[in-house]
Amino acid sequence: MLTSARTATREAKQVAIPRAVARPRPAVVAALARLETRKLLTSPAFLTGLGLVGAFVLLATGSAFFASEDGSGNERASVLVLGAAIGLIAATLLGANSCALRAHRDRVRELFGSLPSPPESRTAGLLLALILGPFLLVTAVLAIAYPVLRNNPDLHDHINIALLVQVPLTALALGSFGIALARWIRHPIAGPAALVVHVMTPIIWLVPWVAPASSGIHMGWHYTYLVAAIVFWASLALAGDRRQGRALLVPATVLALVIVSASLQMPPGGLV
Amino acid sequence: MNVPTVQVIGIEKSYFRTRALDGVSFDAGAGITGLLGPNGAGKTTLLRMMATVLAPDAGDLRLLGWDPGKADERLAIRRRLGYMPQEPGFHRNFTAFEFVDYVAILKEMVERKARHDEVRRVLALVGLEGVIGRKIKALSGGMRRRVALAQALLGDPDLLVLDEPTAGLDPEQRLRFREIVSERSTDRTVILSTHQTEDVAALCPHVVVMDEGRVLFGGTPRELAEVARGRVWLAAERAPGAHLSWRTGDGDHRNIGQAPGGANLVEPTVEDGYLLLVGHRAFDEEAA
Repeated sequence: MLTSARTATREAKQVAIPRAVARPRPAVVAALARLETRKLLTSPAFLTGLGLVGAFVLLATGSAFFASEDGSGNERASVLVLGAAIGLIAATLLGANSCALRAHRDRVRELFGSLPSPPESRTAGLLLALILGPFLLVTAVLAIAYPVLRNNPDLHDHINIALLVQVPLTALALGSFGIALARWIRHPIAGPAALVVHVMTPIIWLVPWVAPASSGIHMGWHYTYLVAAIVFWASLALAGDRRQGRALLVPATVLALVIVSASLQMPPGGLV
Repeated sequence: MNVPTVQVIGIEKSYFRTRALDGVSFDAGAGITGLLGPNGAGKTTLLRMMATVLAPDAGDLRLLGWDPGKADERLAIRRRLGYMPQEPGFHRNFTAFEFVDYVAILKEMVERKARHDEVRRVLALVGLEGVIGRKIKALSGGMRRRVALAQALLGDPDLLVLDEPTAGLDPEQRLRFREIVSERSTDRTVILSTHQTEDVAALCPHVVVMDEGRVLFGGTPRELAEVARGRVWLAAERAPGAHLSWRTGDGDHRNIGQAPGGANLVEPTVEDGYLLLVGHRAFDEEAA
């Protein structure tokens, strides 16, 4: 087994594309990000994810809810806005994962390897596209919908800017997660599987992405957690291009902050 | 030979027990150098090294005066290189314009308008101006090859490495390709791998024939044809002493090998010279 591992390593070294420079150029990353934003928001994975989650929300809340006279117009609008936000977050994970897998799937590694920009340029471009695309889109949707949500009597006490800011940050974190996943597990099923696992396991409740102040969560640590998670996944994605132990130093350091902030954000006895 | 811009000195490369390149050496200068050889000759391995995506096990390689073995010099080479791999791969959901634009960005063309102008220029050059907005998955195989050629031409590179660029192109497209490449070859270096001896005869002032990881011949197409002088003849039947023999459209057998006395010798072509050098392998593969 050891021999076969050594052989595999030697083979990988034999066909590895030699690197040219260490760092991507910011102007290249910015130009890539513009193109990637458009491709991400129109990618089949993003649109499918959006559609599926939208359909799921409609089913979960019951079509009768929308047809009956029980739910007020404001309630219906609130459900739609929250459903859209969840849909955008899920679609961001799937879309980012699919876009990050593109070079591997389409076998352009050799061609791109002959170009002066290192692979991290493409990863960084995609990470920046998450900000220019899904992050701004979710922010815009919530900014427009904010009055509707505030006017909903059931939500009025919970909805505030501090809560809504967490939603685009979550989109950014899960989008970065999707890219990191693609860099380390190059399989198209990994993204959808990760989404299902994420939703179906208790982790989403134990360490929530979005929580109102009324839940008792420590807001300062919660924001630290969200930002640290974004940095962790982004740095892990960039480290995936190098596959060197030294490149994992930053994600390993940030992971410590993720764990600490995830623990400290929770109130004693759990969320209300 | 003018000043060499590509120097290949004793290059060796193995994939485990398979020796892909075995002490390959030759020089190439401005103009087109054709690499001819059967499948498995080592052409693609050599071109991948010239494209800086593969390192040799031994030997020296100099491209445009730089050593691709050093990271900073490798970057300098990549900035002046256009590469069309044998199987380029495409982002199928991109349009032709988007894909070439993407490559242009990775070639550090960051100024948007100038880059878009350059993308339109190279796509027009390969005759794809009418389909720049069409998705690559909707393009024919020949059109995709032209997209691959277009991206290699971005920025008018000093060194153009083309791996079987005419594969899958129809005769008109091949003529267009020859026109494009020959226009660029006056003061640029073009390394071209191909199975098509006609392309070599029509385009390349210098040709290198490879087989089983070794260089069998280096010289002009005329010199390659001369290899077969006195060894190509026509006969009514396959001659017993012929290495290779096939029936031509006229019904005669064209024989290549040791001509018998009194044979009807004919003017040899580049293909004859090539077949004499590697023909046994080519025919073995065909039979297999």
